[in-house]
Formats: sequence, C-alpha cells, structure tokens
Amino acid sequence: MDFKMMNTMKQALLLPVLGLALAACTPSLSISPDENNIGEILGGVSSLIAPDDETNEVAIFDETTRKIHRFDLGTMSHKTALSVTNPGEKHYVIGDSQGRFVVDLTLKHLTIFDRDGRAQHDPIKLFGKPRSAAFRENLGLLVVYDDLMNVGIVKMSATGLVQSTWVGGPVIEGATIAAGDVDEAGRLVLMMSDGVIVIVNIDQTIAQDKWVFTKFDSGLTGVSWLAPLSGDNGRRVLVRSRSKVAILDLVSETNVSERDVSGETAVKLSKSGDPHVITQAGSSEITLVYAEGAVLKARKMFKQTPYLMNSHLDVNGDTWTSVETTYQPTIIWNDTDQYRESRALKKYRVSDLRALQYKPVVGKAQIRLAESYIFALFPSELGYAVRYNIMDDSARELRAFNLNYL
Amino acid sequence: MKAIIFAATVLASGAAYASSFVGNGGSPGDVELAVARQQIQGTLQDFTTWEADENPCVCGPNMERSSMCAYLKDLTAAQIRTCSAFIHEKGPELKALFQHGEIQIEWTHEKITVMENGRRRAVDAVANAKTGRLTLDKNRFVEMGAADRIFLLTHEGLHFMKWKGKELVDEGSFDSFSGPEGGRHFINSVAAAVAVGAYESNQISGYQAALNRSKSYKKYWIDASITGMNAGDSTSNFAVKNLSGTALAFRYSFGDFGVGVEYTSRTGDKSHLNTIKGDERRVTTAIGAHYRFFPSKDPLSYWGPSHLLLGVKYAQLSGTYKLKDDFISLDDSASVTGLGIDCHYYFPFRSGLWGFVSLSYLQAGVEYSKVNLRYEGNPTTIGYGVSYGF
Repeated sequence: MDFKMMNTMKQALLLPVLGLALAACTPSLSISPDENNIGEILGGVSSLIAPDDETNEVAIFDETTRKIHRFDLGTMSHKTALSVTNPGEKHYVIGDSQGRFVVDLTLKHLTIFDRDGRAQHDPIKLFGKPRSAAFRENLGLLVVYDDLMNVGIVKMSATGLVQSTWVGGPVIEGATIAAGDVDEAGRLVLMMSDGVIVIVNIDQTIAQDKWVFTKFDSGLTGVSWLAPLSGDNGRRVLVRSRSKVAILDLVSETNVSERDVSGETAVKLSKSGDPHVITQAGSSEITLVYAEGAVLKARKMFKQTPYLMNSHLDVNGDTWTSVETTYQPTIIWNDTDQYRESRALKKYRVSDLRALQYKPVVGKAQIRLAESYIFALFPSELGYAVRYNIMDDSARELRAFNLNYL
Repeated sequence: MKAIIFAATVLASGAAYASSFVGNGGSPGDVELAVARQQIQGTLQDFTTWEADENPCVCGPNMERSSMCAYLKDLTAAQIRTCSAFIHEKGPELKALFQHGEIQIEWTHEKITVMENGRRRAVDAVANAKTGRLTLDKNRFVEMGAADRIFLLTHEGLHFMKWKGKELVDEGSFDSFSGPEGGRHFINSVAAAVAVGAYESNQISGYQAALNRSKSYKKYWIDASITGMNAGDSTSNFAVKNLSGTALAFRYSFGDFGVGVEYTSRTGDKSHLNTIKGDERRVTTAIGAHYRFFPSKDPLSYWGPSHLLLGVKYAQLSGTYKLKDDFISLDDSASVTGLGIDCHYYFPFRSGLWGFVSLSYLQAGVEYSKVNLRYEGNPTTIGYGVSYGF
C-alpha cells in the first residue's frame, strides 16, 4: 500500500467522521412540520387580503354564525352570506378581492362559489385532507395540496365557474415535491427533493393529463419553502433550505443571491406582500430576510418579541407590518387569529426600521390585515365588523349585517 | 240614633222628588234595602214561632243597651200587650207587604220634609198609603245602620196597614198609646220590636257579609292589574311571545255605562342562538266606553254584586325594541293605533275593593323595521288585579 493509497484510505475514513463532526457543530435551520407545502398552509392562506385598500372585497368564514361573509371594504358594506356544507368544521376561505369567487376549503371538501354565490362542490377529488393551497386570483388558478401529497389544480373563469381541473401525484422524474407555489405568470414552480426546480405549464398539464414542465438544478438541498417574488412576473423565487435563504432566477436558472442562516430558527415564513423569512437567534434577536430585486437583504432587530402572528412586507412601500402577541405562537405561517387577545400591530419603515405605528389590536375578533387598515370581524351573532385605520384612530363600523339571516 | 230617624206619612203633607227603584244592586241602596226587607221578613217569620205568651215588645237583658230598646223600655204593661198582640196578629200581614212587593218603594236624593203641627221638618222617609208608595231618602238610608233601616222600613210599612179598624198613622192616640202622637208611639214600638227581634234572630249578623261587600254602584273606579300579553304571531326569531306588566285604569260609571282611560306597560324578552337577546316594551294608552251587566240575579249572594264589564276602546300602542348581543345593540321603536275590545269580570271584596280578571284584544300589529320584526297577529291580553270603587 503506497503512501498515496494510505492517504486516500485515511481520507475515506476521516471524511465521514469530519462530516459528522461538522454536522454536529453546525446548527441548521430546523424545518417545521408545517413546511413542505405548495402555496401556503390552509391556516395562513385565508388570513390575508390584498393590499389594494379601497376596492377590496374580503371573504371570511364567520366562526360564530358558521357562514362565509363577503364584505366590500371600500364601501364598508356586507354583500352576502354564503351557507357552507359541514358548517361545524374548520373552514379556510380564500376570497377574490374583486368578488368574483370564493374558495371554501375544509379538511374534507372543497367548494367554489362563483360570482353569484352558486356553489360548486368538490370540483376535484382528493383522497387526503387538503393541507395547503396556492392561489392566483387574477388568473383564476387554485392549486390544492393534500396530506397524501396529491396536487389538485383548478382553473376558473373570471366569474368563478370551474373550467378545468387536474389531479397529479407528487413525484416528477423520480423526485418528490418539496415545496412550491404558483407564480405571477401562472406557472406552478416546484422545488423537488433532489434540488431540481420544476416549472409546470399548468394549461398543458391539464390538457395532456400529465406533468408538463421544464426544469433546472438549483444546487440547493433541503429546500422546504418557496415563494415567487412579487412584481417580477415570475422571474425569481425566494427559497429557504435548512441553512440558507436564497433567490433563484428562473430565467437564468441560477442562484443569484443567498444568505447563510445556519444557527438561526425560522419563526415566520411569510408570503404576505413581498415574501420574506424571519429568523431568530437567541431569545430577542430576529432577522428579517427579504429580496430587493435580485439581492437578499436583511434587517436585524434586537430586544424584540419573536412572537409574530403575522408579517406583511411591502418593499416598494418601505413598510413592514406585523401582528405580535404576548403568547408564544406555535405556527410558522401567518395567522392573525391563533390568539385573539393581547395582540398588537407594529409598523416599521424597512429601510431604517423606524417604528411608524404601534397599536393594540382589538380582542376576540377575527382580523384581516391590509396595507393601511385592519379588518376585524367580531364574534357577534348579530354581525359586527370594524375597519380600523392603521395610521390613525379612525374606524368604520358595520353593524347587524346578520339580521337578514337570523 | 233615634233622634235622627224620622218617618212620616204623606198624610202629614209631605213633599218629595222620587226616582224609580231598580233593585238589582247596581244602584246605591239596593243592597241595603233588599237586606232590610229580608231581615224584616225573617224576623217576622221568626216571631210566628213564638208562643202567644212570649212578648216581642220587651227588650231582653242582652239587648238592653241597644238603641232600639229606648223605644220599648218605657212602655206600660198595656202598651206592651198591645204591641205584642199586634205583632202576633198582624206580623204575617206585615211580612207579606215586604215579601210580595206590595209597597212601591222609591228613592229620592232630595231632602224629604213634612208639615206637622203647622211646621215643616225633615224626615228620612214618607209613606203614601193611598198610592201604596214609600219614598226613601237614599243617602240617609244608605248611611244608616242595619237596625235603623229595619226600624225605618217597618215604621213606614205599618202606615200601609190597618188594625182594629183603624189606619195606622202617627197622629192621635191608638189603643193604649194615648196622646196626640200615640199612633207614632205605637208604630215606633212595633218597629223597634222588629229591629230588636232582628238582632235576636240573627238577622242582623246573618246579612252582615252582604252589607260589607263592596258595592257596584260606585261612580269612580281605579283598576290596578298585572297583565300578560300574547304579542301576536310573527315569523321572526326575535319575536317576543309574551309580555307582562302592569296596567292602571280609571273609569267613570254612570249606571251601567261608563267611560275610562287605561295605561299599560309591559315588557318581554326573547333569546335567540347563544347571545342574542331582544327586549321589548309596549306602552298602551287607551280611551274607551263600557257597559256592565250582572250575571247573578240575587244581589245578596256573594256573586250578586259581581259583574261583567264589556268595553270598546281606541288605543295607541307604542313599542320599543332593543336587540343586542355581546357586542352591539340595536334600538327600534314603533307606534300604532287601533280598536280593541275587552271584558272584565269583577267580584267583590270589602271596603270598596274588588278583584277582577280581564281579557282584551287589540287590533294593532306592530312592526319594528330596523330589526326585521313584524307581528302579523294582534295582541291579546289577560290580566288580574284589584279595583277600588268610590
């Protein structure tokens, strides 16, 4: 055995040991059991409303009356109340901001209400329980992911009529879907378990009844979360793996920016506004990681409570709005209603983290957060909702909208 | 009492204005008169059971303190015999006078005066034997005690009788009762004997309850009651089924007719789902007219004074409704007018107090538009309460 061979053997023996030692010494960003989804987990997908303040409609499942309300937040009026099947179950509602359709997801069923409130029950058959969903209201695209890892695709018309559907499995060319979302171009972007990015042509997939896609190797492993960037027409996605947050360019098929987050814990993965990741190191240091164009940015904050229920980022508007609680959330996605007491809203200027607003959030209510206001639906059987302006104390009330349904 | 009871015959040139007597208990004095007549008849019937040697014109030891005994205590033995003989002999005839209504009794509200011995004096009653008419000062009669009424009626009744070929009049001597007012002395003695006999035969106490019962002839009535209202049919889940509250009414009666005003305030609530609660208050003000009648023909029985009051009314119903849950409340109000009918049944207590039950119906559907609540049906009300007539 010559010296070279001995060295090779030593290396062969040492490398696994060194690898184990490195793995043991380098803490990784732990993966929440609520990750590895397409779109957002159901609890988070229904908690947001689009930032178009004055023309927004919001659909919200009223946990008191067990109906779906549609509100016009511009005129602050109640448009209708939709009866749901299995009202006693947990319902997750995705509303189109233009009022064209409402998607009602439960752990057993999917119902789509069209513009006129007509229900279309279970347009796709999923044998598992719906777990997450991706939604592009302007394109009429809904992708539902269940706990058996089936992917259901629904395409709707502008009035909310279901036009076509397709259901596929999670394995593409031998790899399994690790995370994904629908981008602004209407493509389903999937990160596979082998680090390959798959860009699915939804129309062709439905037409050919099989996955139709292009792909490239991202060079990343262990990716569990993927979010298309806002306003770039599907060019880039933000991903997070065990140790990195990165921006992948889908056109150049390259990793254009990345940040090592080893040793930090992800406390919030948010697609509200511009996608961003919030990590925590220690007990009171949090870092906001986001994309500004093709560059990853980070803002560190100290002496902050990490108990974020909701985080909304507007990079162009230079604002970051969060809803915090004194309770410790157990979820990594956005949910402003996990706790309905001791909530407070904070708004920062992102560029210098100047605090722009701090105000307590009303208790007991289900709330939805927009750019400039909080919409609160109180557990009132008669019906009571308030739109609170974030930057001042003005509010608009809507009272007794359930009267016609009682 | 003796001093204030004056009776006279029209032969003494009396003058009075009389009103006709109905006697169903619906007018002042009806009960008192009916009781007095019954007591006289009962006493005279009791005298028929007496042995011939028993003397009704002597006050027994138990009655010596009675004011009526003043008429008897100074009678001579001959006068006592005369008095007793009359009662034994003519008692049944006197009883028949009151029993068969052979005497036409009239009320007057005017003071009755008679001319006696050239001077006019006031009396409580005057009898006209020729016309068979007996006129009573109503107010005085009602105010008298039971024995005084027996005395007065007996005295006047005797003027319609003859004995030993002579009419019984106040003037002049009669048998052993000598002097210019011997006749009056005799008549008073017989009347007093009947009054004392009424005590001894328990005629006085036996009718005490009937006399003490509240009288239905009162003009002014105040009703206070607790009422329950069926609010009317509604398909709304917020509809209050029943409201309860109090009612206050004032009535003025003229005979069996009357007019009145009424104020009621009632509240009710309704719960819906887990937290919704509706509170409704209805206030009704009404004016109306009524007619009453007496189902019982016997004014001396317990149910005799009881009567039914049937009324029509015009009412304004004002309602307020508060609908609330744990977060908000809505207030609404409504006002509606309508016609209604009601029926009250009054039964007597004592001292002017009455009990009553009532049933009423009002044609007035209520709508609270802000809370989507409309009562299609009309409210019906039942109630019970007390009334005071004065």
